[in-house]
Amino acid sequence: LVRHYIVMRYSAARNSEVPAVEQDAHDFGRFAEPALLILVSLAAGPRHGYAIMEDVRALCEVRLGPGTLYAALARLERRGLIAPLDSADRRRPYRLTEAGAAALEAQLATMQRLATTGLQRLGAQ
Amino acid sequence: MRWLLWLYPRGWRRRYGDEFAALLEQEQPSPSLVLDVVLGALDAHLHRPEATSRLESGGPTMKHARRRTAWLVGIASLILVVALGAWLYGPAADWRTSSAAGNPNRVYLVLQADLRAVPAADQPASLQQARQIAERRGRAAGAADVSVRADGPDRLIVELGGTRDVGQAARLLTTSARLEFREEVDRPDGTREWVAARGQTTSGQEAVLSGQYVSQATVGTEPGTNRPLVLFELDPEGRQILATLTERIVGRRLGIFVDDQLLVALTVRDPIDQGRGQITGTFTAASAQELAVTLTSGTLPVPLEVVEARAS
Repeated sequence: LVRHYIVMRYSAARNSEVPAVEQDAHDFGRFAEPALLILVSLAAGPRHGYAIMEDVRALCEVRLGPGTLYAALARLERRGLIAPLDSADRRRPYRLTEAGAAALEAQLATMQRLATTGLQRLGAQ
Repeated sequence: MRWLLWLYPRGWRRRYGDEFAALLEQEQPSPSLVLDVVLGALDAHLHRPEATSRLESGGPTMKHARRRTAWLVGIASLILVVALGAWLYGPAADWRTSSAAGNPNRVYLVLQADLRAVPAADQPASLQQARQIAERRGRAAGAADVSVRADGPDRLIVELGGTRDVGQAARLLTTSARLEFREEVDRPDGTREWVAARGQTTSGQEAVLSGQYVSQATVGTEPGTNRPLVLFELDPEGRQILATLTERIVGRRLGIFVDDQLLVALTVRDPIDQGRGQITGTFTAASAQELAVTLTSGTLPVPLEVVEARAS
């Protein structure tokens, strides 16, 4: 019975329609921020790993190492937020899925609310 | 750096191995890279999709997975210790004493100036000029921060932040500077672009106006406002080219470029036939001096050769 419950919970979590990255924050752990940066990078169109690293570096001076990049990529792919594309080259490009776009939008909206509130509070002092 | 791939679980390697190897090949080996990949591999072991469900269901597979993880933690720690030791005591330990330490993207170059053709009395000034040119070029190339200092009587140490392309930096710093005059032209699609400005020489031949025709440049001040400006003078050949050129492009803009960087753009109101010009702008005394220096010696005063180069 316990096993059945766990399997159900597990599949429920996997099939959950609520896509926000923040929801999985405990699972993304220290890869939550890299994951967000990757989603932002892929929002401009499909890119392979090296191009994502370069883009993120240009975007916000954050340097993602290959280990960090792929740990975050694998999580995003597992959740269906990004999907690999076929490539003749060894360097495989990834694209943002619809779920990924929705998750990114949700998280950015949250961040925007947070930023607005924070700035308002600072201004109120 | 390919060996780092073997730290990852087999299933992970099957899925990501090729692309990850391709990425590793593009990276410069460094302790922080090793650390990053070791931690990534450890994470891949701890968060294997199939391992997660097995761990939750308990039983012998869980014991197996735990033992595996313990092994991995052991191996990862060993690699970290070795990497740290190599970093602290390795043969290249000296570069970390420079300001490159802690900055992930830097190019470090040692340039040897060939001063044999320069009289001994002028050598310090020549090296100083080369230093200024190197600094300007580093900035023109888009380096985040640029540091150039003299090391002894005939060497320069250059550090460029925000890049790790050693080849490009070496080329940039050792080719001679180009001062160019360009004219702005309208393209059919409504945009504008800068093209090499052409005029006629005294013998009637078409020529591109470039730094080779500048005879001298000095710093002056604008009457009335006392703001610094740069005065330049062309040799007779350059004078003729400028006159025919400006006659042709009255009402359009003429740009002065050094190393492909637009320094000044001025609208030509009348043909300039005295071969003299002044460049006004938001100069400080120092930046005006710098431009005057570049105008008179936009090209490197001495040949520079790269004797040491690395990226971090």
